[in-house]
Parts: sequence; C-alpha cells; structure tokens
Amino acid sequence: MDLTTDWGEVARLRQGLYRFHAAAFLTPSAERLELLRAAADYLDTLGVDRFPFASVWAAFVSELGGADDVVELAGEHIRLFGSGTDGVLCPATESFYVASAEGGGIASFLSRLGREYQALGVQIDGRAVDGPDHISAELETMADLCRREAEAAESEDTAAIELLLVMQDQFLARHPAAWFPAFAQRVEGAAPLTFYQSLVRATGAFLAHDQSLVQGLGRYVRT
Amino acid sequence: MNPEITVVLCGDRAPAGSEESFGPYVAVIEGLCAEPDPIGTFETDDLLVLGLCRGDYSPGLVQALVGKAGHDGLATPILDLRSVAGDLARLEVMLAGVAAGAGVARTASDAKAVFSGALSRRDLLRFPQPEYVATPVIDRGVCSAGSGCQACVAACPRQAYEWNQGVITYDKDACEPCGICVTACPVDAISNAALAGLEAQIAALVDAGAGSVGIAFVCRRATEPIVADAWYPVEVPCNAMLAPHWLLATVAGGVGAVAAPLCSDLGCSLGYDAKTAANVEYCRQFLAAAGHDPDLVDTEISGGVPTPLRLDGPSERFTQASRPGVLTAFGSGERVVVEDHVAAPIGTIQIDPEVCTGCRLCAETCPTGALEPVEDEGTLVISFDANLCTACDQCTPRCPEPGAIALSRRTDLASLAAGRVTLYEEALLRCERCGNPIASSVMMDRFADLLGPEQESVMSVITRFCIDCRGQA
Repeated sequence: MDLTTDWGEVARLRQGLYRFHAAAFLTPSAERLELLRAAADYLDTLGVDRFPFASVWAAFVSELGGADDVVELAGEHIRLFGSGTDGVLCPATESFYVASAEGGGIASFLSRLGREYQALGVQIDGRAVDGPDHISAELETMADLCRREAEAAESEDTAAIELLLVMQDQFLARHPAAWFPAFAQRVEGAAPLTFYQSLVRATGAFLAHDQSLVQGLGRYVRT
Repeated sequence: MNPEITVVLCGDRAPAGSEESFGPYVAVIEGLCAEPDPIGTFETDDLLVLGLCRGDYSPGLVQALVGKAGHDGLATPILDLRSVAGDLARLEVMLAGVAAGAGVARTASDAKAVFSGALSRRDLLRFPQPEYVATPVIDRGVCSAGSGCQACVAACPRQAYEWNQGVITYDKDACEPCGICVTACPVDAISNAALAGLEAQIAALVDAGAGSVGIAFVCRRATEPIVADAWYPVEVPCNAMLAPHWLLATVAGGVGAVAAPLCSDLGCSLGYDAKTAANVEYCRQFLAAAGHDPDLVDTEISGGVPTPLRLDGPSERFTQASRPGVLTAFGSGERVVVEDHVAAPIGTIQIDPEVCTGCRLCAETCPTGALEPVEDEGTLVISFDANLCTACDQCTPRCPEPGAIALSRRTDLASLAAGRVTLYEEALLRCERCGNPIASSVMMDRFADLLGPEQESVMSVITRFCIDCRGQA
C-alpha cells in the first residue's frame, strides 16, 4: 500500500458509501437488495477496511447477504418508517426530530432546507423519497458533494476541494449528523429484526467517521 | 508466550533470537516500519500485537493495514521496540503487558481522525492516511450535568466541552484527546477506550516482571523511549490526566515505583507540565506524610526500583470511588495530613451556619452525594461525607451567599474515618395553616434584608404560610 492516499479515490469511496446507505433506507425489494449486495462487494474492493467503521460495515454487509425474506423485510420497513398499525415508529425525516425545537414548525424548516439545497446546487427528486428531509435525500446530497469533490481532485482543483470540504462539514453538522443518533436510537429500540438495527449502526459509524474526517481536514489544511 | 497472540516485530530493533525464543507466534520482519505492507497479510484469529519503532512508521498507515488484515486498527496494541532496547526478557514482559491490556474494540464514534503536521492544498491530492485516536465518551445516564455539574467544562484545556441548560455538549474537533476530563469527572461518566485495559496491563507487567517493576507512564505523542532497567512504559492519553489517586493506587498495587514524566521531557507538544507536576508533588507530600518514601512517585525515573509496598487497597483502582480506599491503604487517619494542595484528590467542606440560608443548592449540585440535604420533622440537615468528595468544587460557585460554604483541599485521613457528619442544622419555620415546613429563619432574615422594611407586609405572609397556602392567606 502506498504511504499516501489518492484523495480522488477516497472521495469516490465516500460517494459510494453515501449512495449505498441512502439506498439501504428505501423500501426493500429483491432487485434493490441484489444491487446493494453488488455495491457492497465493489465498495469493499475500494478499501473500506482501512477505516475504523469497517467492522460495523462488515456486520451489516453480512446481514444484507442473509436477508432472504423480502416480504418480511418490506413489512418491517413499513412498520418502522411508514405508517404501520402502530403509527410511524421511527420517522426517517429530520423535521420530526428538529422542527419542534425551531421556530416556525415543519413548513418553515422544509422551506429553509429547500433553500439550502438550492445553495448547494442539489435538486431532490420528490418521487424517490418521502420528502427532502428524508435520510436518503440527505445522504444522497452528501454523495453528490463527494462526487463533485472527486471530480475536483481529478482535475487537481484544490481550491474547489477545500470549498467542498467546508460545504460537507456544514451540511453534515446541520443535518444528518445532528439528528441521526436520535433516529438510530429509536430504530434500535423498535426493530425486532437485526437488519435495520445493523443498518443504523453502520450508517451511524460511517457518519461519525466522515464528520471527523472532514473536520480534521478542514482544521489542518492551510492555504 | 500466549498461543492466542500473534506478534509481528520490526527486525530493525527486535531482540536477537526473538523468533527462536517465542516459537511460531512471533514473526520478525526486517524494515517493517519503513515498509509495513506485510502487516496487512496477517489474517489471523489471534490477537495481533505489533512491535514497531516509534517515530519510524506512520501510525495511520499501520492502522489501515491492520484493518486490511481484518483486525481492529484502533484496538491493536503497538509496542515501542525502542523501549525494549534489544533485551529478550524485557520484550517478554512488555508483550505480556500490552497483550493483557488489549482487545477493547473501539468504534468510529469514539475516535477521531488526526493528521500529523499541517497539510497544504497540494496535499489534498495525495495526503497521508490519518491516525485514529480514541476520544472521550459521555455516559448520559451517569452524567450529573442536569444538576449543574460542569467539572469537565472547567477541566478541559481545549474548551471542548460546553454546559447548556443541564446538558454537556462535546466538540470532538476541538478535543486533543488528553484524558484530563476522564479523571476530572466526579462520577466517572466520561470514559476513553484507550484506558480500558490499563489495570490489566499494569497487573500483567507486575506478574511478568522478575522482581520489582517500575511503571513509567508515557503518552502517544512521546518521542523519548523508556529504557531504564526494570522500568516499563505504559501508554495513556496524556500524563497530565494521571490523578494523584491513580499514581498512588499504582504504587499500592504491587508496582515498585511510578514515574509520570513531564510533557516537555517526553518530547510531547501538549505542554501540560504544570498539571502533571502538581499531581506528582501531591503524591510525594502524601507519601512523606504517611511515612513512606516520597520517591516512589516522581516525574523522573530515578535508578533502581524498590520493593513494592503491596498494600490492601480497593480492587478497582482507577475510579473516583477508589479515592478514599487508595489513600487509607497508605496509613491510619490521625497522622496523615497534607496541607492545602491544588491537586488534592479529596476535600472537606465547611458551612457557616450564620451565613447559610439552607437553600440546598450546594447539595443539589454535588454530583457524588457527598453533600446531602435531609428534611426530618421540620429540621433541615445538610451533611457531608468526605469519602464521597472528589474536590470537584462544583458546590461553592453555586452558593448564592458569599462566605456560606468553603472547600478545603487539605487532606486529613481522619475526615474519611469520620464518615458522614452534619455541617448545617436548622429548624424550619412552619406553615400556620397546614404545618408544612417553609424555610429556615436565616433564609427569611435574608429575604427581609433584600426586600427592605417597606415590604414588611410581604414578609408577614411568607414567614407564616407555605407557598401552597399563601394564596388563601
């Protein structure tokens, strides 16, 4: 292994991981599970094992490999994240966790989030996720920022990389890293199947690591 | 050698005969620090222990390679071969120590990425793998911030903690993991995975060492090795975190002597010399007062290691609850006194009954329950147990009456023997309507002073009726 790491490769790996985790929170289907398994295999070849979240990642990938009963999994998904008979047990949207603490309620929060997406140059496809503050939407946003970072690295635009790191740091801190722990705690308490427990642990560890990595880079980079 | 351990040593400094002496469980690879790639090939179910030459390898790259081999890069111990000094017997003892203290799994949530030196923009195209270091974790179920405790906020030299409306927030980015918060927390609510195996490591060094063993605490930033005969290094986040009762507990528990070198002597950039020096100085004064050799604890390694004391102390040494047990293990109560010292691990509280209004804020804030208010048949009693006091001084700033409460950092083991004592006792005024207690007469006098004579009518109500009955008065 080279003593140094190609930053573009790391950015691509992070992009892939964000996309993977975003997809894992969507409604499961046989096709989607197969795609996730293939993605996990590919991401492993990019060097996930070098990072401290590798063990919880591996645990979820193992769960993914053994998830044969799609019907049961889909039912669990509805029970936890949709409107099951028990109501929405574990809302996967940021507004549930933060909107009550902020002025203006959910509408105001979503309006602000929309403006933030606009400023980041991100457009959320409302057909794909349950609202712009859904965990999958926010993880996809991070994936897009990592993609742009990888492209900047590939064109050796270091100023753009530095700016994108700042954007990622701010978005992570304001959004997914802020509310995911509370969401994960709910899932851990409500999910009898280990699939989603394992998923939130893997996503939580990845988010914690990425926030630390981005902050660390921001601290040490000088112009 | 424990057959469940696989040891990989850098051949540049591994003692001659390492492979022959320890059998198939040890691999010696020439130039491993400069070319660590072979580490990634050790896919074994055993505990992996590395022996490398500190300063000659990239910690981040080694962690990444350990991960590639399927092990936990954060939990795999790395022994500093410079401190082995080519001595096979010394290697065996040090391996026993690090192996005993290893295997505590860590997660990305309690670690942070650290980049050595400063990076330039050019480095953003290719930069070194970061090293991951363990960071503090707060047990919210134990934390007393809700009662007003801010001990970690006061102790942290990097302002990584903030107290806001009863909740502690922790800024991992600001943290330079030094562990000072761990020993500052009065209720052991803060932990650091880097310390999880500390007691086991020290015990293993004592067991494996032939004769008296000296422990020299070092930090991960230390550039100087520990090569003195019979002295073995034990790594902690920073020597400044070594509370006096940790140092004394180490000496009491079978270690012949303890050294906690200063940051400046270890080549560490944190520079918390004053705190380390104060902790060591307290220990030396305490040992002298208890009739023992003060040189058992020092900031320097001083030659030979004396015969260990092996005193009867608490089974768990590195906790807040162990403080009184550690201190009393050294001597009886009456004759062990250390005058007021900033690093004293215990304290005593005095309350002036002429000033105290019995508001109980001090006791409500006290995170350990050393101060305790009890209302019994119309009398308020505030008691104090020195065995529970960690001298955190969260109580005195909360007191609204200047001079009512004072913390003394004078160590007197007799106070531990005394147990819980009454500091304040005052009969409470009772409600004329329902008979329930209202407040102490001192507090009412204070209200009268604050409100002035023109509020006499108000005073006539609040001194006679409780808050529930006032509206009906």
